[in-house]
Amino acid sequence: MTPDTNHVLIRLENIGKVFTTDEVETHALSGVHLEIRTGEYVSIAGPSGCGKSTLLSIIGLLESPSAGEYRLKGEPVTALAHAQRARIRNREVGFIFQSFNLIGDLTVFENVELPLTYRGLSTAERKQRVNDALEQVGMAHRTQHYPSQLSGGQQQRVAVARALAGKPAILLADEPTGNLDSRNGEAVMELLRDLHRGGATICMVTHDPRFARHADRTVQLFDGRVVEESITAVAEA
Amino acid sequence: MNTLGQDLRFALRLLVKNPVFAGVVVITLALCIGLNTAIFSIVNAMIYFTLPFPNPDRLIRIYRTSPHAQDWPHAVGDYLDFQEQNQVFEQMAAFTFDSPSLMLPNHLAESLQGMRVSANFFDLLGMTPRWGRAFYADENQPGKSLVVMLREGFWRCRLGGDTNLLGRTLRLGTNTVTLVGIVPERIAHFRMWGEIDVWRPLTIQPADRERRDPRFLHVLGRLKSGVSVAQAHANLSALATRIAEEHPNSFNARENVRLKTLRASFSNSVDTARCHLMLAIAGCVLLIGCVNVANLQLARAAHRTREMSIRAALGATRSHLLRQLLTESAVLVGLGLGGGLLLASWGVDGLGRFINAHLVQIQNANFVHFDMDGDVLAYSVALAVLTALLFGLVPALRASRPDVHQALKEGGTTASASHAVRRLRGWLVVSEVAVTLVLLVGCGLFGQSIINLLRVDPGFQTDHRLAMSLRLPSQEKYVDAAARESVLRQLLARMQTLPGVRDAGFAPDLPLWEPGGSRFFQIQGRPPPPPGQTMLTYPETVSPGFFHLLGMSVQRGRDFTDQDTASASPVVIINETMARTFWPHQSPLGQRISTGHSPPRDWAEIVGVVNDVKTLSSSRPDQVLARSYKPFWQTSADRSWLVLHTAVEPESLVEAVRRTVAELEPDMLFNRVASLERFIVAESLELPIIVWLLASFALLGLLLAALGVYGVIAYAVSQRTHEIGIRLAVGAPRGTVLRLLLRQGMRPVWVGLAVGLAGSYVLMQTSRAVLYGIPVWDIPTLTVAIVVLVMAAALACYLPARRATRIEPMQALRCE
Ligand SMILES: Nc1ncnc2c1ncn2[C@@H]1O[C@H](COP(=O)(O)OP(=O)(O)OP(=O)(O)O)[C@@H](O)[C@H]1O
Ligand SMILES: [Mg+2]
Repeated sequence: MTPDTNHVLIRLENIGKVFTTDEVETHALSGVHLEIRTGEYVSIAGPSGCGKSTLLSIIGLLESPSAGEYRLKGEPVTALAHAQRARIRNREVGFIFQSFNLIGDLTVFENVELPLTYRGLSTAERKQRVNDALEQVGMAHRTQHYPSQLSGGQQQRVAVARALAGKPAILLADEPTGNLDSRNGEAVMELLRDLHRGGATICMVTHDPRFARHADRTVQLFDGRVVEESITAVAEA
Repeated sequence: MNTLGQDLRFALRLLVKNPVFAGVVVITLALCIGLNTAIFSIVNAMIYFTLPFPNPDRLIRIYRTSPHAQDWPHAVGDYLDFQEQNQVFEQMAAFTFDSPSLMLPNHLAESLQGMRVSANFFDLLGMTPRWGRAFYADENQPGKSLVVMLREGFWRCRLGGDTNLLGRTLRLGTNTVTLVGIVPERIAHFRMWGEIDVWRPLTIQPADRERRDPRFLHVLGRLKSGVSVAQAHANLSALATRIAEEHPNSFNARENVRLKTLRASFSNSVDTARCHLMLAIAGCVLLIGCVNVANLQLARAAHRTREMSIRAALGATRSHLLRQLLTESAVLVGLGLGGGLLLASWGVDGLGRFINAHLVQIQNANFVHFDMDGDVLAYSVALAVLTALLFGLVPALRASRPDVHQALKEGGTTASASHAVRRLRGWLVVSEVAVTLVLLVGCGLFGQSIINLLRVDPGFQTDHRLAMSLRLPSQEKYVDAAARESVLRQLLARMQTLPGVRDAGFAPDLPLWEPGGSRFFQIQGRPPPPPGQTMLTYPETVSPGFFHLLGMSVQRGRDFTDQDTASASPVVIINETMARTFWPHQSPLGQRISTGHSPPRDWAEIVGVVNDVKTLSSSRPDQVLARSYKPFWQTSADRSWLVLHTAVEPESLVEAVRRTVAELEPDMLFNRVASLERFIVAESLELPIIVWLLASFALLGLLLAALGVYGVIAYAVSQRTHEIGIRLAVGAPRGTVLRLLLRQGMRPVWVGLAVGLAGSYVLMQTSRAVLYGIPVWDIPTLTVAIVVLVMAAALACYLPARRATRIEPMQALRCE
């Protein structure tokens, strides 16, 4: 396979991550190779503690790898300074967390607006983008509510909208359904699948094999290593 | 700009959502900023005010110095020599003070505060009259000086502010003078010459042209541009040497000139040192407040780790987060500043009113006010910015660097405080305790030194004494000295028989004040002192029995009697200090001295030695001046203080006294009636004010520090609820756990005490100059400060620790 490098969005080569705490070294990841191409929907699976979240936070530039090379859109990002990483995170990455992580003191609108405010867009443009994103997740009617006034499913949809608002190159979701009941969980997964169909690149951690099947491809981690990559044969209709 | 608005909105919302936090912070800041602003506006009015004249830096006061004093006035001859021969001043002017009586038709005579000035006085200052003109040069000549200028405020409120009065005449004492100009009100700053109402030309008699004594002219100059104070000093100093050679009686070898900017001449070193000490102490309180607020911010930042992490995950850079956190601090400080300014203006207003209430009766003055002017505002704003940085920056720097991955993956709300944060809190306690100890020691030493001053035994009694100022219309009715003596003797006799009065006496100056001036004197039979060893005495005058009246005691020899009159031979009584200084090995009784004449004449025999009195307004009352007293009936004075020793509450006699005076001589000028105690209080009014301020500083500082330590310990303990639960669950006795918590809580307190002790030592050494009666190492003050502080800190540790150990183990374990 000779992949068109123009379409390789993320390339991890031989990535390793070591946490050192109190003289104890934890090898959270070692020798990980991973490529994600534009428009792909990749799911990451594996047992607890195998390094899924760590991998995702390296992709999302929240952590730096201890070893290996990471190129985003062909550019090496491993050695960038703090502020530059923050800028790239802001423009290229949209995060969706298991526990939603909305800010309780901000309204729905302001939460979604948050990544845009760090970018210097005009008020009008921000408003437009926030409304579009909330429209996409079906939350446009709740802009002035506070997170505590919303159900879990609704909160996660707002979180998705926030991830979308910045028009990122990739959406990263760490067990986005973990804190939701199955009905709400399915709704969120449905939303992500719709977004993918609309062209979004998604990388998602999930334990749930049902949801893993939504993805084009599943990366299986075990003890910090990639043990299997499987192409999902048939996407469910 | 967008983010600023957003940060601001968010900051405000956070405050509304956390009213207790916001309230505590804003109140703390308002108290601290308010206190500092108030102190600064007082200090500003006292020592940093700007002169209301153009190019004030070039206005110079010229003093004469000698081994005895640093800022003496000049003799007419010396002044004229300086004025004519110097090469450094554009102009030089002289002035003296007087108090003419204003005679308005159908009004009682009224005593005014006045100045006699050289004609160029206002021109030199750079002041043009509000209306009319200043004095002409020839109006300094005798016979041409019957013109007057009035202060604008006085002219408005006493004469209706009528410009038609310009060119008309007024009666000042026996003189009819023409009003020629109105002086702008801005000349009346209370730290300058006081509330002067009238200015008249200084007249210099041709006969005085060559006089080198007495010395009563205050001299002022405006430097030529480009001339420095040092150059001017060199020039005048050389002149002084030359004058001294030509006139051995004037500047002798050890006398010289001293130059001070006019601005500096209005502040004395004691006031300046006291002001700086007060500022430093107020600054300590502010520091303590800042530490408290910083600590609150840290605790809150811990709760907001998750929020900061989310923001960071969404691409907020560190500077974004910093800006947001500092905006929040700025909002808090803004509110604190507003509250502080309000408190301060309220405080200084009250203080001004308090002072004026004490001064109005005895000084006819009501003019002390502390403006919250531009300087004061600038100071408070600068203080507020500093505060925001102090308490906002450190927590913000910490909070803006969250461990994002960690905080978010747990999805929890609070991450327990990291080691670094705990260490930082420890240091906050250390600095808080250290600053508080310095504050307490500072307040203790300074306060005690002031109390020492207030406790000084003046050497005379002040209770049951009524004092009032009297003046005879001497130039019309009582031109003759015998007539003056007769009416004053009658007055005294009537006063002595007034019901409620035990005794009465005259003294032209009350002994509680700095003496009016000094004179050279010589001792008969001793050679004149060599140059540089001039003997000085401070002459006073008292009527017979006056010493006894004030509870002073004639220790050797005799008191004056009614026979010590102008026709009797001259006598004098000296104080102990003078006796000890000039007759260390023999009795001064029977010795003869002569003051201020060359060659000496009018030898007066020393007939008694009286005990020392201390000048209460002095910061070193232990340094007593050599005073000599002349008998009142030998001086033919036309003005004096009348003092009554009363059997009843002294001020209850005011009406009776007034009636008696009016019956005897309705034209007698009679004012400033008050109990002697009231005069004493007014004389050193700043002292009790300082004590009250210090006490409130110490209390506020201690309270804030205790709250701060409490906050830190309470937070630390609440973080350890789980651990405490486990300890209790495995069977640790509550007492053991309590002691453990106390021991750990007090650890930074001990470190803080050590640091504070070092700071206190530095403070003690640097503030020696303003401390009176304080030993080098003031162990009692230190001990009290330490004990009070340790007790406050121990209580602040004990309360949260006890609460934590009272908890049920299972409840504590479920907590996490
Ligand atoms: N900040 C850290 N410090 C030390 N060790 C860490 C840290 N973060 C993760 N680890 C360790 O790295 C390994 C991988 O953790 P990670 O959170 O990536 O697992 P995971 O696959 O997401 O697990 P789960 O399914 O339970 O969320 C674990 O052994 C964990 O203990
Ligand atoms: Mg995980």
